[in-house]
Amino acid sequence: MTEKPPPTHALVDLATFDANLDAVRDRVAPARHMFVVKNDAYAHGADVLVPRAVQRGVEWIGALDIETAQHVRALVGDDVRVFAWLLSARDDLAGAAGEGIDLGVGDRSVLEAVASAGTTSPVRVHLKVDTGLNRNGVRLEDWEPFVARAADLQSEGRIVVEGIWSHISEASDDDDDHARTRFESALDATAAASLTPAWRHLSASAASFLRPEFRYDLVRVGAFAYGISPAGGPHEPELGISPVLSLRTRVVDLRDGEAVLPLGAWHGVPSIAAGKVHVGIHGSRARVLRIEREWMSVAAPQGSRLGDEAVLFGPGDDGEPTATEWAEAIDTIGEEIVLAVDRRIPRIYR
Amino acid sequence: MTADSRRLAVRLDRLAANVRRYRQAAHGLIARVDHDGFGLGLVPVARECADAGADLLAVADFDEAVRVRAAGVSIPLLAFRPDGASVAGLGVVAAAGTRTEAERAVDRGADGIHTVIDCGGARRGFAPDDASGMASVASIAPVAALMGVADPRVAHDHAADALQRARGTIGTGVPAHLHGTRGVLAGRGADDEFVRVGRGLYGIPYPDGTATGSVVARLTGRVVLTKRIAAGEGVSYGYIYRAEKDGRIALVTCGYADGVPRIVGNDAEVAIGGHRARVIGRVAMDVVVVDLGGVTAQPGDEVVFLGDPAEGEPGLAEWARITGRDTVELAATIGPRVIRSYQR
Repeated sequence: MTEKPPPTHALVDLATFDANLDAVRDRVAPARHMFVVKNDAYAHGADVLVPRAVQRGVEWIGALDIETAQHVRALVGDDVRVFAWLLSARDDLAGAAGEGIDLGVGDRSVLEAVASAGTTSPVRVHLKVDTGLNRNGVRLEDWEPFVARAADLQSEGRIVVEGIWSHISEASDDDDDHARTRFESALDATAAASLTPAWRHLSASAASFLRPEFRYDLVRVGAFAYGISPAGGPHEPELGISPVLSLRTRVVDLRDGEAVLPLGAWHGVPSIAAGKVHVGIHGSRARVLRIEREWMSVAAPQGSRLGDEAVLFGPGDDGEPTATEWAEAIDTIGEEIVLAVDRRIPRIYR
Repeated sequence: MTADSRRLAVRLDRLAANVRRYRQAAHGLIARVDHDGFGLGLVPVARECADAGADLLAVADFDEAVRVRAAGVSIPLLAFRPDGASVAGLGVVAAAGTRTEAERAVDRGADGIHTVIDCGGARRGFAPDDASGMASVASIAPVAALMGVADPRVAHDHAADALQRARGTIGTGVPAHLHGTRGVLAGRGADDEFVRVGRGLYGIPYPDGTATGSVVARLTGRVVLTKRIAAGEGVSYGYIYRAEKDGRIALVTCGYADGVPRIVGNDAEVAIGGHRARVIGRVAMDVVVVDLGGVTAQPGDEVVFLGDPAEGEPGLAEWARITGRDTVELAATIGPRVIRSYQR
């Protein structure tokens, strides 16, 4: 790329992304990686990363809702499985089924709506059991009649049960073990209803890397594919991943020992991080002093000049912290930091 | 989820009323529509402010200026930073706080400059007595006005004195602007040729809840499903909430990707059918869980995250209290997936 990037941009490093995908694949094998791309691939740009991931061998894309799944379907071939799970009976379920989208169903009314969507071929569904998170998912005491109904609908040729799945809280290993016990009992009840789906999936990034018994057939990994490690650790080097996105800008003013950067809270830089984080300028750590609406200031390293590149967060090559380190400074997680980056800041792919 | 499952509804009639109110309190009004109209949508907001009597619209940069002009809004425009596309022939002036910025503005076709004056703690602009700095700008392009900027913690009198000194430095006859919402509400609207107002036009309250105008924006999600919860069970990641007793909960669209701060979990309230209900457990990326208590709700019901405190609905001041962030920061960072809609 010979063209000079705009002074403020989010750099998306595709080689790092490829390496992260490989790290996920190797770590979770023989389970498969469902690459989660909701919210425009965690603000990295789904239009670029989804085809790239498929080229790299990813066979499943996790899309959240039907609108996102349909967008993904237009980017990839019909042999790629696309999964949507935040559904309501008001959604275009027939349209989704017609495009071969796998639907995650965790509610009886949605199951009925899917079954009566009027499709020409059976709709692929993944039945969700609530193993304790209390979000979507059928409670364990309602699970038997739920899978019995699903078995009926499958024998009528209206649906085909492709998967059983759940979400865990990651509150503690004990809590997650308890959730897995529930998942196992739901699997037993599913088998007893003569359903034998090929895809059992329970874990997201952290459990898929750290707890082999949670992998089953498929893991739903977004964060680690983007190189976002859990707040509080373990961090990137331990996991064998690296941040894909770095937020970069240039010094626009120097005064009283401070370097002024044209990024602020309105661009997604959380004001409450002032005084708690640093940015990287030519490999030096520059302490963040103020974060206002449209600008921020940092302690200018020795020899700073107008136009110097400043990196707010990224993999650390220029002295910058990771998004997760920003998150830890303000009691949140790296995903919230990355997703907040103003979508009008251009993404530059390298 | 259907398109209306995450909505930021903008009351243009209220925006117009706020514009008229602030316009009346001053000789001239610079309406701030920068940063995509404070996140509400640049073009509809710019058009409404122009129609309601704003004298000038302030945008973030030349890219925003081009978008406003392309939409047919013809009143004068001020770009806060001289960056982006060429604005030659479009009737745009730019703020410049250095000679370099002034040069960039002229290179990109700006008709004139609002010279930025540091009126206290601003980290931008010329000192009020920097005659040679101001002259260096004037030698490059016509100076249309002085734009005083000050840290919000600087007292009105101190900032106003600084601007007055700058007027003395540059010579008489150049219009100036310094005060915003806070200044107008403190009776400073008639000090200068213009006031430069953002917060008040949108009715964004101060973090302590003090109103600045009629609330313009309303953030809503939808109930995805409702279900039972048993005493002792946890909710959402980390189980930071456990149910004290058996009850009913709702899964609701809008999460931290949509601008609901992750940290408000367990503290913020929403309104469903006019009744308050608490967000329980961690805010997730796309959804929250709500304790319905005695409230009845059905899938598809609207859930108000940010409404009008004057009508008893949850508002930005509650989020500011929990997060320690300013209300303008919270208001202007509602996520891109949330659809903006406009009504009168």
